[in-house]
Amino acid sequence: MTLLSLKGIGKSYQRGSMWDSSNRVDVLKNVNLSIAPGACLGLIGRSGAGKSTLSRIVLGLERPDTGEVDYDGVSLTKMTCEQSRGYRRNCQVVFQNSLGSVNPRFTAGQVIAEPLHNFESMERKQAKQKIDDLLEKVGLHPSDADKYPHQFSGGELQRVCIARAIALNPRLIVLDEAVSSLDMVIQSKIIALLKSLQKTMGIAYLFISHDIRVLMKMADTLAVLHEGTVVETVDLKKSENRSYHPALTELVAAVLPPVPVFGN
Amino acid sequence: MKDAHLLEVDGLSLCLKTGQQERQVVDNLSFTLQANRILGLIGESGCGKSLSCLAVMRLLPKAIRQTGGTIQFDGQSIDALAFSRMRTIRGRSLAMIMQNPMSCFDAVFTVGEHFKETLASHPDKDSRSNEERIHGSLHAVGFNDPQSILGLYPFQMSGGMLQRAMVALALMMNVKLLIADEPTTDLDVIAQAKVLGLLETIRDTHGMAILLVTHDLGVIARLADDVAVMQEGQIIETGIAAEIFETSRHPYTRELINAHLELYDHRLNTIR
Amino acid sequence: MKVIKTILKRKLNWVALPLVVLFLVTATFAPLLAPTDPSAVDLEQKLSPPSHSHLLGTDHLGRDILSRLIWGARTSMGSVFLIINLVMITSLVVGSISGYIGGKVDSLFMRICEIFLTFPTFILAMFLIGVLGTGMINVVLAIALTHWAWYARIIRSLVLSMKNREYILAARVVGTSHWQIFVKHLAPPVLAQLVILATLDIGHMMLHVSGLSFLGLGVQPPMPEWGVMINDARQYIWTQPELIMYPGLMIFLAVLAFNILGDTFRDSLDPDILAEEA
Repeated sequence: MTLLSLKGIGKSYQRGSMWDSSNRVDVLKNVNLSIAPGACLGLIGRSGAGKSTLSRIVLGLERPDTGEVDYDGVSLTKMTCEQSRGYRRNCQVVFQNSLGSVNPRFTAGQVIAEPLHNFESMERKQAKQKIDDLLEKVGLHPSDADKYPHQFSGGELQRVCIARAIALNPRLIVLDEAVSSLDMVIQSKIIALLKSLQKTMGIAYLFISHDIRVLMKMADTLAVLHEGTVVETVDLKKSENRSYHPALTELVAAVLPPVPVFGN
Repeated sequence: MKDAHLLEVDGLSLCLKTGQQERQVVDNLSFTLQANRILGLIGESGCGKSLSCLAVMRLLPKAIRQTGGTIQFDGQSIDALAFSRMRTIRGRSLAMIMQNPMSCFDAVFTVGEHFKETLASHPDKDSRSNEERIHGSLHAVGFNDPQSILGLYPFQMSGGMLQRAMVALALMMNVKLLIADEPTTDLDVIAQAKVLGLLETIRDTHGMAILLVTHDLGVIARLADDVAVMQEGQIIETGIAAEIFETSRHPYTRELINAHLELYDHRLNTIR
Repeated sequence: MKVIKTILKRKLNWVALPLVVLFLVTATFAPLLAPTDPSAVDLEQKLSPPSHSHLLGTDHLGRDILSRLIWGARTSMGSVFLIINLVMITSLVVGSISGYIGGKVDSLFMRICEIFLTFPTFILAMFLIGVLGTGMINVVLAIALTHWAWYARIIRSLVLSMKNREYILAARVVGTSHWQIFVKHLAPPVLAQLVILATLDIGHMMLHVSGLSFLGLGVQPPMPEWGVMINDARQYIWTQPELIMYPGLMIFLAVLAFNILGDTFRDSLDPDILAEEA
């Protein structure tokens, strides 16, 4: 059974004033996607293709104009209170800019405690233990709980954000360009961390990136978003011998070479 | 015979002053750059590569001081040059493009006005009219309809377009050295490919020297002739790009190269 | 504390800070500090020069000027304090709701703000006093009503700029309710900004209070207030100019001290300047 499915999702935005409805821009048109439990769906597209809008719709931060988002077979708009709560705790996110995704006045411990505070009633000691466990799980140290965001490096702060995302043992995490701002060495370590967490916790990922190299490493399936629609889906576990949509081949052709091609 | 160095940085040291404390951010940096070549300066965030560029441009923030070394550009020592003399060199022979192209343009002026202002700041004996020069350089960077670009405001253009416009400014002034500080980090892969291709063209057809700063080895692999690897304010290795990739034994360089090569999956080749 | 250190760094504050403290202490402990009852009329002693029992002399009704100045501080500070509280509460509520909810609610609230912003303070004050009558409370209301809208707009744009920041989105994703988001994430920086703005405005509001009282629209005799004292002393300006000078000087010093302190307060807490220093 699919964990999350998007059927016929469409979204447009108003450009200009509220009372002038003639200037609408279609950001997403008839998007269909599905994610199986424990799987990793990679979503690639150029800037402006609609990836961020799609991630906000999947996270329930925005309502689509048309179409349905089904979590565990139930549409988000038709959920009971209980089901809504279940969806909320099971669908988490890690954003691209770690510094912008945490309150600068919160310590790392407070950042990670926020989801726990909302969904679990834990005693002080229990919560502290859980936070320490989470910090260690993502490769940090329990003493980091008292540090403020500006005291962390980019990679370390992203680990804090990952700890916050896994705090409630979610079934799905949306990774919205989560490794795009990281230096190469740190990026490869975070990718390794995400892969190992997926293995041990069975979390499904919706991995959004403009870098196809990262997606090849992480994803089971690749969906290509082009001008608001999914134009191509590739099963990365099988090797298929066919021609692909030009949007995808264009993206692959633009990939930087691994080593210098012409010597000097 | 080796070309004379266009840019020679020798023993550059920079210090950051915060409150009462001083911290060395760049330590004894030395590298050279010749015309017609691209030097890639690679290192992770915070290693001091951007500051080194600003030092060459003499645009360091107030809190950073140069505490040692010399910078020679086109046979002239520029690190101690008078500010007014440096201003004539900057923009005319030396130009810089940066990571966030939007921030390099004044939002209330059109692109055309930026070009006109640059020409007005550096009067020279070029026989062509201003209009010819502007159109020529915009065309050279890939804008097929230069006139339409001139009337646009920066917010109406994409990041990739703005970056190409910045390169056009440098081309128009016929600069000898272009410093590109993470020029494609904020662009998507396709815009990145266009901008990097453009930089390659101006090296080949205009003989410009380019100092290309990046944290992505893919950019180095694509464009750089020579490489300097920076770590924590120091250059730990220099050499020809192809040789560094193949034969470097320095542990930090190898760590970077391995992390970079790890990303490449053979399945990429099947999607053509 | 870092704030106090920053305040003391600026030499001007070495004068401003003690002055502000002096005014606040005087206002709070007026009953204890004033040598005599400020309303005690003694016509035999009227317009007398400084003496042992009346350190600054007496006014045209024989009342001790020093006591009236001290109690006047209480009236001025007290009313400004009330005004600031009213303005802060109203603008926080309206601005936050407007900024956070957005849409039609935002439009409605902003149109209401614009209506209030078009009234000059004195005109609205006179209208209100015409309707409600004179008195300190009405002056406070009038000044609060003409100032809240400006603050509300600033709060609104602050909330608007913050509500789409990624850490707010992240808070929503981890299940934090809208109210909790406001209290835990939005309110602290908004309140900080509000306090800075209010501090800078204290001098301005004090001038309004004194101005309206001078015109006879605020405090009614015999309640002491600096603006009223200036009005009372108008007819004696050629014979006893010090009667105008004392309250005038008080207003001048108070406004100046609060302005200087407010400036430094803002400089030390302004996030742009803090970011530059970082």
